[in-house]
Amino acid sequence: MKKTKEISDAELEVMQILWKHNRPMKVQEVCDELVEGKWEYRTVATLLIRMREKGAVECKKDNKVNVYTPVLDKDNYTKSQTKNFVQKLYNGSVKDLAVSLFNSDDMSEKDIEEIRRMFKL
Amino acid sequence: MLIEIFKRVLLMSAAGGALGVFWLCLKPVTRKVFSPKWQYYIWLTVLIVMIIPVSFSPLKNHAYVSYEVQMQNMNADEIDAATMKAGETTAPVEIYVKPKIVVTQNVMRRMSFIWLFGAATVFGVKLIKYLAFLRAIRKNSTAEDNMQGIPKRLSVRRTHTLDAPLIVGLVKPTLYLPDMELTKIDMNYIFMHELTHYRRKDILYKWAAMLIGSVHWFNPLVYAVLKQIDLECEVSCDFEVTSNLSEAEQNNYMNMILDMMTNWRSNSRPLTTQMASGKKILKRRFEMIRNNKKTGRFVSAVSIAAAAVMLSTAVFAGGAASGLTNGRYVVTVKDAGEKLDLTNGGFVENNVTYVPLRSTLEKLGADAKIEWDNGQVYSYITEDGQERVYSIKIGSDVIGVSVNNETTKNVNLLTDEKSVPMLKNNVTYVPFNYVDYMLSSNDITLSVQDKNDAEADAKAEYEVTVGTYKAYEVQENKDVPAVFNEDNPAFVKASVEECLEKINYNLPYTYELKHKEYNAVENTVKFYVEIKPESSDSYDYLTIVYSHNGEIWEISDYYLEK
Repeated sequence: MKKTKEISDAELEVMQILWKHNRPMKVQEVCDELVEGKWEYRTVATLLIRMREKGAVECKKDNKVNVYTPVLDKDNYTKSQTKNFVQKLYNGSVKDLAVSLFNSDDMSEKDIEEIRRMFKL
Repeated sequence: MLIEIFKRVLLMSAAGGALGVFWLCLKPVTRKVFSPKWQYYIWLTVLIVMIIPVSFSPLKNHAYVSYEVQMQNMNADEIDAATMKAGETTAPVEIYVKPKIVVTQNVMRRMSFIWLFGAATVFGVKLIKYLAFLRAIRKNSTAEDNMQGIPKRLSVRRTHTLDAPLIVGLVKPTLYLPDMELTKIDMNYIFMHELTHYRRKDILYKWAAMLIGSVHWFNPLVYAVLKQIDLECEVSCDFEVTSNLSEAEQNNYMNMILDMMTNWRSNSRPLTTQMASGKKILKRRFEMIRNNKKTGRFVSAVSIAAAAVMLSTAVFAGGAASGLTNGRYVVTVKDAGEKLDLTNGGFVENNVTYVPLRSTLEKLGADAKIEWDNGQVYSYITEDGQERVYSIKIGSDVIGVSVNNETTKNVNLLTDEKSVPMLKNNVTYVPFNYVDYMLSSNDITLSVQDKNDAEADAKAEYEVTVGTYKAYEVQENKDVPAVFNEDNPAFVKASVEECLEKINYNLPYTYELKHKEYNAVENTVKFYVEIKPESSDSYDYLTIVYSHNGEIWEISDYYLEK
């Protein structure tokens, strides 16, 4: 099952930089792109390590220096964020004002299986 | 005004809630016997009860009913002297106003503001979320133009933001389809389902429910009702769609729904909550599809009759309760501070306080004699060596006045059309200010206290007895303003002091009454008072408005610095 990576606001900022340059970047280069003195080198390095664990970025060695490239696709990410937003609104209030086929938030896979068995479908 | 509306809302909420509970309790039975359509539309009875205010007083006596006359000794001479006709108002009429100041801190007032604020917030938040949703899905969607079998007013769009098809929009409805591969057969079923919703105007029903839910946001039963409406909406829709399908087609339909749900599950993030409700709802929908029995005509008729009967019962109960709460007030009359017990009691109806004419005059120690003659009630009052005769008529707002057998004049006490003398259980009741007017030399005040607010009122309510001031002359044509005959300095002083104390105005001051205004449309008198604090060079302004039954309508002090 594909998971949408839940990345934090700070990590998102780093992602924006990687997406903008679209090439492997060193930690220092990322730092330089940030607003003067925003985060320490160590902070950025830690962020990138976390992002790699989440699978949002890829790490390679270039002359003994770590370089990072984005794995998470920007369009996909934006899309899934919009979708989350829409779903939250719908389940929050809008479902009282619209008519649908089913409520996607309400059932687990187990539930669906059970229904299939119950009705022999 | 707000308080009255709030009280009505409370009653409607109680009646609607009771009806809702009734249907909920009956549901295990009605589910098996009545049609899914009935299950869906029956909640309209609850919504109707919650939105239509009905009020009537089951005790009201019509003012023109004939009555048994309680005759007293009548002196022929006195009858002659008292011959006058009340009820004709061709001559200009004198208007008499006596203001009293009764200020009560009302718990109800606070609660009605909380209600209003809550309703506005609930509705506002829902509306904002709704608009944000509309914008988000529209921006991330594309139009589908080549759809066949779609009604003209319904536009179709495709979007990746949704997992299930949905129709949204009250004025410009749009069908949104999820961005996935759908077979022709699936699309067919989807359209059948969604277009059934569209044709039945289910969106309108849901909006109405949401609006009423916002008004009654404080009532927990309302949320249960809304859930039922949502559930039965889908169940009845499935039922309608599949009622003419073969068993195989029904299975295809159900599979279509399950496949779409599974499809979503494989694309998206896992659920963080697992609610049994989704499964229960789907189970109910599928059960209904399988047990596709049509209800017979007889049962349908019974179901509609049941709905109609319960609806009228709830409306009647709510209306009666509303009428009864009119009489919730305790009416006492004080003479120079002493409470008087009225034999027949007073009551409040339509915001006017009525007292029994005879007992009130008696208890107030007036030298008064009452006589009835053909619908005319004559009150002979002897005071300070003067004999005055007041002639009133049940159902009429004019008083004929004669002093020492001389000039008769017609007086109207500025009451609205509903507050006229009335007959109740053979006792003549008059609006309180009639008695007040008749006994102009007494200092009597009226205390009307809401029984349930006794505690709060006991702390904050107090009264100031103010003197009377003379009648003002108005022309028949109400556009011509009143001419004030005379000031009453003591009255003004008492009012101003009272008001300034209310707003904690602590500075030593002098004041001057600058201007008086009489509003014939609203029956109010407005005083503009200029206050000069001793320690300052600037002035503060106080506006006091009195209504005909004595309440301060507003103290506006926005020029006033405390």
